[in-house]
Amino acid sequence: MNANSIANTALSALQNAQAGINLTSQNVNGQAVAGYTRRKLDIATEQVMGNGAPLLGSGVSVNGFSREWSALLQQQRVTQAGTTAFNGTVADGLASLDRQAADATLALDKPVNDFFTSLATLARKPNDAAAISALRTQGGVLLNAAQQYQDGISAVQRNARGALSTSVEQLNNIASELAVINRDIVTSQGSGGAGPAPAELDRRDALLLQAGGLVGGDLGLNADGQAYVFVGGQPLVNGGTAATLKITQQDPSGKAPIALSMQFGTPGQTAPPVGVALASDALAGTMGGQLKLASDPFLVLQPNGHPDPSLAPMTDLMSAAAGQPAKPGASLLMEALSALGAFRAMKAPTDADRVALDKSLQALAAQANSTDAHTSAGAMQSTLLGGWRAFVGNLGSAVNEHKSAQAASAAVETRLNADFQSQSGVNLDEEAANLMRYQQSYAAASKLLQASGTLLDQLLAVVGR
Amino acid sequence: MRVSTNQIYQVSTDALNSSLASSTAEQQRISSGNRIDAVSQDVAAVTQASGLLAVKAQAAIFNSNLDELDMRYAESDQSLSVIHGALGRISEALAQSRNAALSASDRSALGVTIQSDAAAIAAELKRSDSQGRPLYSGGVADANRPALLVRPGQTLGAEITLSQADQDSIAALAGSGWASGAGLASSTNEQRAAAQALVTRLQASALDARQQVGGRWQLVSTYQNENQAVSDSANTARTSLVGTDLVKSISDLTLFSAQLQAARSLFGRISANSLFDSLR
Repeated sequence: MNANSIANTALSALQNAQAGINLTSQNVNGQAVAGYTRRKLDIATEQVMGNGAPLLGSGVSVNGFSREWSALLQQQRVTQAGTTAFNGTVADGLASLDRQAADATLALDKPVNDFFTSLATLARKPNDAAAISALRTQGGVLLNAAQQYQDGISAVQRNARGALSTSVEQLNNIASELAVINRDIVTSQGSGGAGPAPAELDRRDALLLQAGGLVGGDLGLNADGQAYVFVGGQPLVNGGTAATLKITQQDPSGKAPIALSMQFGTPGQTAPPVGVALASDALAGTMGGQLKLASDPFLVLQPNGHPDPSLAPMTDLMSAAAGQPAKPGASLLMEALSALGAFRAMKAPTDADRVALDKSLQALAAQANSTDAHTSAGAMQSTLLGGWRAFVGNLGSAVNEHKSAQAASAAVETRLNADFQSQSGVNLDEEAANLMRYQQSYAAASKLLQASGTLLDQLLAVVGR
Repeated sequence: MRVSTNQIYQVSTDALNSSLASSTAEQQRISSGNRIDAVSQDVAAVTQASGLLAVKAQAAIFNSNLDELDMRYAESDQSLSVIHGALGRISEALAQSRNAALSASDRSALGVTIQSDAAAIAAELKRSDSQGRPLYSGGVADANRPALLVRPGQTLGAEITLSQADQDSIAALAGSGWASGAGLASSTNEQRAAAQALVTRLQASALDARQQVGGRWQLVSTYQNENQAVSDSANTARTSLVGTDLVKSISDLTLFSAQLQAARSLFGRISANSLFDSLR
């Protein structure tokens, strides 16, 4: 080892320590940035002999920084984010209804029970005008209460439609940005390029994670590091090209069915984009939940999305509240309530309308004292409350089901995030220790450099003597 | 396993948020008195509570019907009592009139008494109840006074079980020739005996009707007590299902407050503890 090689070794160690200090600084700063992955130094032994053995005394060189990152964990996080977000969105979307149904002042129990109390009064005094009037009023209170639930369901649907529009916009922005990053990745890797900057890869991963939470489904990274996003089997991001997701059916009343389509355009061409309709269950993630609620929140309350007959009295009651006529073959109760709903919906009801309504209510009252297990007031009350309880039960179960699924998925996600953080996260204490290590290394290299200088001076002095 | 600083913060903020949410929820339970503020918290309890409310409402309807019957039976009993008393007095007068020692004027005086009581009975048979409905309806429930449900599948009628024929016979007393002062004075002993037999039979019918009303009235009282018990049980069960258990809630609140304090303390320590502090 000659004096020059000592100086070279000391210099490379000094540069290494300097790079370490810079790296620590970068990690410490990045710790507060969402999606930042810890950087590490890529160090190589400098120079090798012709036979491949390291050349003693040549030191090391810093090739650059790379990310401490696991593609497998990233992929799992992206997938899991969609499941958690889907269930969370449905549970959160139904939360207002969930609270409304538990509020004793908004529950249907009291209006239903009060209606039947009024009906019993009319049954005791069949021709009493005050009793008929009281029953009419109480029926109105019951229909109003049922209407509140219809309004609540409509609000869930409206909110979901609004949120879906925002999510579509957000996803389209993510898709565009990912396509740009994909193009950068290809460009940076071409013709001996150094590859994409770690910050850009961090951004790609963060966007992919967001996309996973938003739309779930099939998304991840190609072998060359480019991100891809497929929605319902259609490519939203593929290489440097991004399609556009579009809501194709939406009206302000929120009653028309909602549908999504993927619009494909050719960059640089003015031809109108070609649209491909997506199946309603094509989406997972936040948007999947939003689409489900935006399409028909009542379906969410039905096990497996199939019509639940036990909910029929509740749906009939809400129809009556909306002034719709009773279905053919409806019970006397539903006929009377529908008649009342229709009467309330009239802009200028006549006396004849009122008399017809009162007759309907009186016919109902005449049946109220029946001892027949199927037609008595108790049976009618049980049917109506049965519908209400089915609604409450299905609502609570649906919210619980999605909350439980969300909690289970979130637990997995937490675990994955912990593993990811364990590998890619910055620990400030570790960085502080590294900083001290690099400082000492820097000081040691300085000393060595100083020593090599002193050695050279002394050698020169000996030679000069 | 490496633990990043973010993870440590995440754990401490999660603990902070979780204990804060639990503590807030418990405070809300204590202040509102409601254990459940969203159906999903306890679906079974909410639906069962709804069922218990319906039981209470049904009991209230039965009780209203029973109250109505109670009032009707009171009026019926009072009316039948008037008729029975008047028939008793007529029967007594007829018995006296059969005394051979009585003079025609004595019999005439007794006839006046009988006529007065017969008129009172006739008026009673036309009596209306407190709501203006005829009290006597020929022994059957009518549209104005329907039988009322008093428990699931069971109705009680409010009609007075005095047949129309008996009512007509009683009403006819006032118009009977022998029931006037002169008629009784000129009647034969056989006619007086026959009249007494008729009145005694009618008196028995009235007593029988009164006993039937009394029997149903007694039933009303029993059902009212049963209904009250059902209503009270439903109320207690409902409160235990959806009401706040204050002892448990206060105990939980104390626990959550301690957890919150611990989480705050942990967060404070984590925030302040860094090797970088040693470097400064």
